[in-house]
Amino acid sequence: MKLINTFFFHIGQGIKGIFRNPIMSTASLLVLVCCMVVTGTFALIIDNINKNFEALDDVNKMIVWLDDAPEAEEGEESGESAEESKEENEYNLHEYDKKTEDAIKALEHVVDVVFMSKQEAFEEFKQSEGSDAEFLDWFDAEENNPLRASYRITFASDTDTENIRYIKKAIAEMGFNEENIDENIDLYDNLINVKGALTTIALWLLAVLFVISLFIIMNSTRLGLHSRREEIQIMRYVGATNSFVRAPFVIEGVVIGLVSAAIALGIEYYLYTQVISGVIRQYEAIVIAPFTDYLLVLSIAFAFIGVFAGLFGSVISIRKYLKV
Amino acid sequence: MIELKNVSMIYPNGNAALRNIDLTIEDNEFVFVVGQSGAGKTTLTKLLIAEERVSDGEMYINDFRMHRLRRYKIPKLRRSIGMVFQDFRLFDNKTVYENVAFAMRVVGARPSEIKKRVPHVLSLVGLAHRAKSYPDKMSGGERQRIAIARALVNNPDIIIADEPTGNIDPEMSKAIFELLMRINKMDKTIIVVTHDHNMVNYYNKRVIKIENGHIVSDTPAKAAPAPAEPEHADKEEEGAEQ
Ligand SMILES: Nc1ncnc2c1ncn2[C@@H]1O[C@H](COP(=O)(O)OP(=O)(O)O)[C@@H](O)[C@H]1O
Ligand SMILES: [Mg+2]
Repeated sequence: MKLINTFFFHIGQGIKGIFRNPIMSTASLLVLVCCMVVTGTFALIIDNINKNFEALDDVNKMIVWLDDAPEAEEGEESGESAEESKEENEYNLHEYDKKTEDAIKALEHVVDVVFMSKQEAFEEFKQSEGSDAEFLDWFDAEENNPLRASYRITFASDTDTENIRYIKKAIAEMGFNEENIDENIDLYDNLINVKGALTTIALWLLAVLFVISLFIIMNSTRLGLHSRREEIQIMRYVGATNSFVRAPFVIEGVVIGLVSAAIALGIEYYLYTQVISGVIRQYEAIVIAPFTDYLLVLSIAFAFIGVFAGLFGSVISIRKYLKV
Repeated sequence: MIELKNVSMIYPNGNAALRNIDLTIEDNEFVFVVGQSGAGKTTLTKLLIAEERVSDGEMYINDFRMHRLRRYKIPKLRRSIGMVFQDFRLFDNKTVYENVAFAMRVVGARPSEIKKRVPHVLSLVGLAHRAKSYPDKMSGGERQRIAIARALVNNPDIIIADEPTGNIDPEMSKAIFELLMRINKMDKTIIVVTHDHNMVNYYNKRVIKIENGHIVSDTPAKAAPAPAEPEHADKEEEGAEQ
């Protein structure tokens, strides 16, 4: 009962405190909102990149092209001896070979290997170009097929560039020419670089804006303490505890933090659904996660930033100002 | 009981405000503290509410060992002592009622308790009819009575008044002293720092005289009026204080 009375008294005092110094309160609020919106926006963009990254098929694929067998060597291969080349080349580099497929499948992070023959490649190409495409006048699947057979390799989604390089090396060691092995390491690296850069910028902005927020809240609290120093002195003479003296200022800070969080969430919603999504949508194939996916985590993160800044900022300056 | 044993208080800048003070004040006693400006009277009141700490010696107030009192115990100590200042220290933007109620809120009293106790204390100091007024529209004597009501509202054992009539017309001062006498009869220890020798002589209570940080005389209440102070001392004090 005693605690509840005191609690409501403090809430009232804290809210009064916000309006006692509206300029400082507004400044604290604005900087905190900026801090949250900037951080939140970056987080949302980064997460959308991640989601698209996973959805992007090409990234997790590798193609090993098979060269047509040179005419001259064909006889040699089907022939009797040539033990050297047989030992060196235990994998068939020119045609489908179960052993090759199994060896690739056995590599770490590889989840699937599909062989695509010259004919299948031709069919696929034909389909993508349409049956009246010009090349059909020149080429035929059986006679003079210009396309190459290939192994299409799919990686597990947690595969990183390092793994891909390793897989490429292992396949090259099987005898395949590195030039015949296509992967998307560059794209992969680019995406990772972009993500890394965005994360770095986001963290710096978060840090800088958070420090500014703290600084403003601290000054706001100090001004409040100063303008109420006589009141505080009286409180202490009549036996107020330190926490009683502190409470309204801390509540003031926390309320500003929570109000900032609510405003930031609203702005973020608008930014995300109207602005960011609109911009991203121009790059077709990219999928945008719905805002509701982020609602809970953003609310918690914003509330956390707000409460932490409010608590920390006010407590520090009370400590510095009052030797309570 | 208040007990000081060989207490000294030296300010951080080296001012030795009190030196080797030995003093005992029993429960429910009424004590005047007199002395020239700068003698150390206010410092003594500050020690009593732990606003300043003793530099040397031992000091006890009821169960509180003041010379080694932990910070967190200070609020509890202050709730057993009511302070009254020369400059009143009231909230001018709060009504008389709110000023007194504030002291109860600070200690977490229930609203129902506050509603009962504040009017009672206000009528005790004769201000029941001014409950809704604001202090800055009231006379010095009335304002000091608000301050006394606030000091009294949490029912402390001790009331300390540091020159309570210093800013009050002499005619009004009498009422303040009368009030303090009345409160003393409610089983409260009263310590009054004052320059008002007429009142000190009139009431015939124990008088502690401080000079230069030392207690130079401690005169108990007598049946006969206390001997008058030397005349030159009177003049000096009045001149110095204004
Ligand atoms: N905060 C302080 N710091 C340093 N010296 C002080 C302080 N307060 C009072 N003094 C000095 O201590 C002495 C006693 O002061 P005080 O207790 O206020 O005297 P009184 O109340 O009897 O006039 C004086 O010499 C005064 O200058
Ligand atoms: Mg003084």
